[in-house]
Amino acid sequence: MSEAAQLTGAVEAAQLRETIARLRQSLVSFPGAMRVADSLGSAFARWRERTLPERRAALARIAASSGWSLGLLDESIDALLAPFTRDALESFASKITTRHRLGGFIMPANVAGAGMHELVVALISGVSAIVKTSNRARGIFHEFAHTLREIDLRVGGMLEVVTFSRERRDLSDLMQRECDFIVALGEDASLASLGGPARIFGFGSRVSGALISLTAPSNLTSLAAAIALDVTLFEQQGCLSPHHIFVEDTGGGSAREFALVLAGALDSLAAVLTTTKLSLHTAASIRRIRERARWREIGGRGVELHEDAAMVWTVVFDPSARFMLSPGHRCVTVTPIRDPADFELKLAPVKGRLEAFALAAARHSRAIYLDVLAGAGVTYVCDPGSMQSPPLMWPHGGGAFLDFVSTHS
Amino acid sequence: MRKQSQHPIYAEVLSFIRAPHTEKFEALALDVFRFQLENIAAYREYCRRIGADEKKITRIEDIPPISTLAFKYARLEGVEEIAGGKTFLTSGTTIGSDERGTHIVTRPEIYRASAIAHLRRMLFPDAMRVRTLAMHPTAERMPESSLSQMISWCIEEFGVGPCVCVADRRGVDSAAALDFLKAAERKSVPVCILGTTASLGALFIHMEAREVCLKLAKTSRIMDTGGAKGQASPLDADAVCANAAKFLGIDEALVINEYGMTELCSQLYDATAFNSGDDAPPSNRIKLAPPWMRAAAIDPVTLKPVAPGEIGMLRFFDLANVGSVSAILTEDFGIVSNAGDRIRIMGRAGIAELRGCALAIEEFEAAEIGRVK
Repeated sequence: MSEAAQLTGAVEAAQLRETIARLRQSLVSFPGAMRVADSLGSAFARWRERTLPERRAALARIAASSGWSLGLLDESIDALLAPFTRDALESFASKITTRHRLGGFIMPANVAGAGMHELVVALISGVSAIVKTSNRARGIFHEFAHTLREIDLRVGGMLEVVTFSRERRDLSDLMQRECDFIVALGEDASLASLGGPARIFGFGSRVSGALISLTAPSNLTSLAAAIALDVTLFEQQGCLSPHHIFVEDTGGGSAREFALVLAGALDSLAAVLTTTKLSLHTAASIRRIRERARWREIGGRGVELHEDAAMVWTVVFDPSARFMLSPGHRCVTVTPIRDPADFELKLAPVKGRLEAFALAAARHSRAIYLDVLAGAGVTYVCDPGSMQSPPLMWPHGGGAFLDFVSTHS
Repeated sequence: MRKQSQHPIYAEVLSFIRAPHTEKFEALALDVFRFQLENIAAYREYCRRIGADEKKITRIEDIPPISTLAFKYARLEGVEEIAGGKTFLTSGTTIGSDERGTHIVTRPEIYRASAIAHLRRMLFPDAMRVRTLAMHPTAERMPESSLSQMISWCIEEFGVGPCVCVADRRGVDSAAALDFLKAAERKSVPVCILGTTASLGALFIHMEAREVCLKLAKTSRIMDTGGAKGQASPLDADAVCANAAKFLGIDEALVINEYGMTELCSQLYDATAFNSGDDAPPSNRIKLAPPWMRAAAIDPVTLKPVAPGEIGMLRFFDLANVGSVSAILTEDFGIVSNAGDRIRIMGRAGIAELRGCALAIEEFEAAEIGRVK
């Protein structure tokens, strides 16, 4: 390491120590759960305004680094922020017993704002939080912290956002040594590398899907529009983005029809929420999915491929596929299922790795499908169109962290 | 319709392979394309589905390539079964593959001519015939393997004296390989070792464990293929050459990596000081295509060539594939020279992996390098 780099590292480590010390100090003057909830409610109310300068600054930076359109980012962030209403925050605050701890939060960068649920429930629960984001995109948390400090300096003092790269293991180790617990969102392999004395809550690799089970679905168009939105937001990069859509279909062809309608919905949405440039690897992955579907169709396997010329969206109707992973970027598979047992079989490849499912089901079958989803480890079931807006009390990753911070009175 | 077996296009392709005239390549390629379009229903259907208009296809880059995946799901040989045709299956080891691809080569003599001519240029430019050690099953042991077929043809054409195959479906007998090599060393006769990179890796491990290092005769050579596929401890090109020098005494210029696949009847080989005057280090070598094959790096979105010097997915037009489909889109990345004959292989496209809110921004931005739109 060069002398300059060593010096920089020492300064950053010193700054991190100071930041941690400051946050430790803030624990002794915790202003109370209700005040934290109130201040957060005010901050989120500001952030729901698309013209807020901090929001514009954050989104502009994310757009510059990711290539995502500002329109898509705005829609995505609106969906993310939707659950953080004043009512929800204060309701949570009224029920918990606070515990004063220092928490470290290691946030991912591919999904803007991911980790917000964990951060918010922690702050209300009496946690002072140090949030680590990546080097090149300061993202939402820096700007949100700024808003919070403007609204309430004392509550804002409970939150510090720092930036360093994952290569700075010294700084990661320092965080892990000094914090009472760590929340980390990342790939399973990265999470496995975390260590130290702090309790670690890892939110690793997960995927989501959707299920439509209606006896005679007369509202396919609106369902498709809602699911198209779920697919499109965050460019299908997060753990809440659906990869595979299942349609209960006893032979009437409704799954096949749904794939076609979904393709139309994605196409319509693409005109409004423009997409990004694809990396070579992503484009090649989507090309692979398309060609596999195309040739299975030509080979008489009953597959149908719906696609656009610019590779903005892809829908594969596959009559027999088990849960298929998508490379993201609006690429989904649609498969019919006969019944709950068939559905369970088709979820088998990702059992225990599922996060959320959009569910549109007739009353008589809903309970059965909910059982199947619970058995597969799904933590959030919602109506189509709401996948990116899990409630404040979402038991992300199974709920261990929520239980940890929100000991109810 | 004229019977395929009598169609003059086969003779024209064979003639080109025997005496290539680069200036005639594109015209012949277009003839081959039209022949294939007429005779292969699945290819015709593919072109129809993607809206390719035969009348507008006047340049080689306009010819629609089919994905290598097509060989898994559709019949891509001509309408007429040809007696004496050979059926080759893909290995099925590609990540995520659920079926093995089938390439029916209706005119094996063209396949053989292609394989031998380019082997002669790239692995035997000195016109030697040598003792050969096959570390992959030969054709009689694994008839569905195109690599096995190529090895058998190589032995037939360039082998002399005792030629041994030490591999079967169960694996490689490294001890037998070492015995063969020791005998060659004792007699100071050169050998040619043909096999997968993984089989070579196993041999090196075997020799290291026994603390054996040989000094094979000076013109001994190696052709390895397959790269890291199937290796417990993957050997990169530098490591293959270093180990070949250490354990076998073979000069790195005579360690030549092959790039080939069941779906293509022609192969590419490392350009080295031995066969071309190129002397790039092993990890930075380019591969040379034969004159009857042309490569392009293409944009996976548009399927059009990327700008010169940019990385794209590799597409080949292989005249030797005349009996099936010649325009093939691989899943490999690379950079291709303007003439389409010099290719730097840059790895393979991945498949979707389970992930959540996971990528760090550094990875995210790294993934954006080499954007294609």
